[in-house]
Amino acid sequence: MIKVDAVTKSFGAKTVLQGVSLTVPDGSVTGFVGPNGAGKTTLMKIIVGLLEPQAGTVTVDGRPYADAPLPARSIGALISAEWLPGRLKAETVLRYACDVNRLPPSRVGELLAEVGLEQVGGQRIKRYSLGMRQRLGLALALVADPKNLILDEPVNGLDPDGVLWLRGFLRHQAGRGKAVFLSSHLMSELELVADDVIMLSEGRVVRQGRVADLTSTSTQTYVESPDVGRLAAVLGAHGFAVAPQGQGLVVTSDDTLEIGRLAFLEGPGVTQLKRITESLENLYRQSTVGEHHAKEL
Amino acid sequence: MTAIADQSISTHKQTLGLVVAAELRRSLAAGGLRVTMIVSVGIGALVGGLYLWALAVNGSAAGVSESQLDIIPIEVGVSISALAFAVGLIGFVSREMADGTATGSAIFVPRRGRLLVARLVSAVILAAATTLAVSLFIALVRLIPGGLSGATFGRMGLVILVGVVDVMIASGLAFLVATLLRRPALAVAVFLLALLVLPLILLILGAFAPQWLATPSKAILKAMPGTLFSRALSVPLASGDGWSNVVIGLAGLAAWVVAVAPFTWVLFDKALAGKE
Repeated sequence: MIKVDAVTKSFGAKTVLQGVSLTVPDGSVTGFVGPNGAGKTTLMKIIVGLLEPQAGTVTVDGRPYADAPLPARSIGALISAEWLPGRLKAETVLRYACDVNRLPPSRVGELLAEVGLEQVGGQRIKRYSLGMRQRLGLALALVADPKNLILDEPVNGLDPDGVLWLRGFLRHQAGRGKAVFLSSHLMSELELVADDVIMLSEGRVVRQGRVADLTSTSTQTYVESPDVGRLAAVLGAHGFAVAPQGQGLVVTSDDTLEIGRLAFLEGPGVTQLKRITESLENLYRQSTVGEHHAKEL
Repeated sequence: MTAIADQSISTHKQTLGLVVAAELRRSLAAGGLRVTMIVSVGIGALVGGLYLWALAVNGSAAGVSESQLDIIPIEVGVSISALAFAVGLIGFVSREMADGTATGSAIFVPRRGRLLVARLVSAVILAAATTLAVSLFIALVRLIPGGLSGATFGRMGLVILVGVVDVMIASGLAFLVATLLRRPALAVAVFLLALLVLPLILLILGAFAPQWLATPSKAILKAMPGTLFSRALSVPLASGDGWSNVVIGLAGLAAWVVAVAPFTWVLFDKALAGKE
């Protein structure tokens, strides 16, 4: 479990993180969303000790990362695939990671196989595509089978097969009890894989919670019927606000049971009835609209 | 997606020795310092061997003593080899700082002091190994035709010991400067400027400039790392000669290391965070 408590970080006059607090629980994928420059990478660097915060604390399984007896057992991190030196072979980079963590050299082959690079492990990294570098970065993060994973924009550069593979990979890791902390500015992608989400905007957490809870907060229902006009009249007579949308109606209520009951008892019936869920992207926009508006002014 | 076998995970802590060994292995891998070491040993052995041959051939006419034959070729070979190794080391270390290798290492070795010291020790060990290889080759060339005598063995042992220590300290300084400067081209340029160009200018000033300029130029020249390195590598040719040059040279180089280390420490920490 990763616990961030009231972390503040500035670079000169620019405050990048302002009192950020969050928890990444074990056994789940926690998405970390925000636009470029929101402070996601800075926070991840603080967690792995590459940066020192001006205020606040970060603990990994109850202690600072640097105090872990074998650090890679505590956290596996992919912060940037650009940090992989092109002049070295993938095997050399993985061997170093094994050596500093007292792991046997045979682990290198296991890791390469795990991320699908076993055929190219002897090649220099400069010959790798961005997607292959991301896979190698994931292999490095997994080197000592860590209890916590921190992955910064791991989808970047992956082809569609790679994206599918990554989703399965992340779910598998969370299923094994790991805390997976995953940043992305692709919210639709996070919606598919994350259990929890933390939204960051201009250095502050603007919303956090379970993805299922956040996306089901809508109070609207979409309904289709063989006679939309008659259904609108019936619902309107019972005090529901309705508006036409596409082939059906949007009802400003999440009481799907009552809407369905009225449609069948007094109206023409329904061919489709569903609660409208919010996308993470909409939720993020709603959470930051005040700030963006203020900025524009 | 297989999990790591539990029995293969050590319960031991990460130690300095573990990180030094990992740094050494990576430095010796393809894309590391392997080529630099081979070239340095080759050049040092070649120049030292040729120098020995030239002294031996012309020795009797020029009045070259046995001790000169034992010591000077090794000093020449070690100097040339150290120069080549230092250029390669500076390029390698600054490249590792610039291309993210060091930052990647810092994620696996979050204790900064441990990582910096391990990288320093690794560079120094490789420098010592290179110097030993050069020295032993030249010593072998000297011993094979001349045969082994106690005096020769002793003199060679001393010069090899001094040479190794001298190169280790100088390589430590080169490592610290390269870590500090981070950009390979800049680091190599500064190194060559400090080792060759500036001393040459100071030498000229010391010889031809007016007194008010010549005196400080000579003093500065004496304190330059290159001068101190050469001074340290001045093993007495006769048993009655003093060791002061060796001691002053080594102490001066060590003082440079102590002076540069704090700056390197501060900037190493900052550099690892990478770009924002």
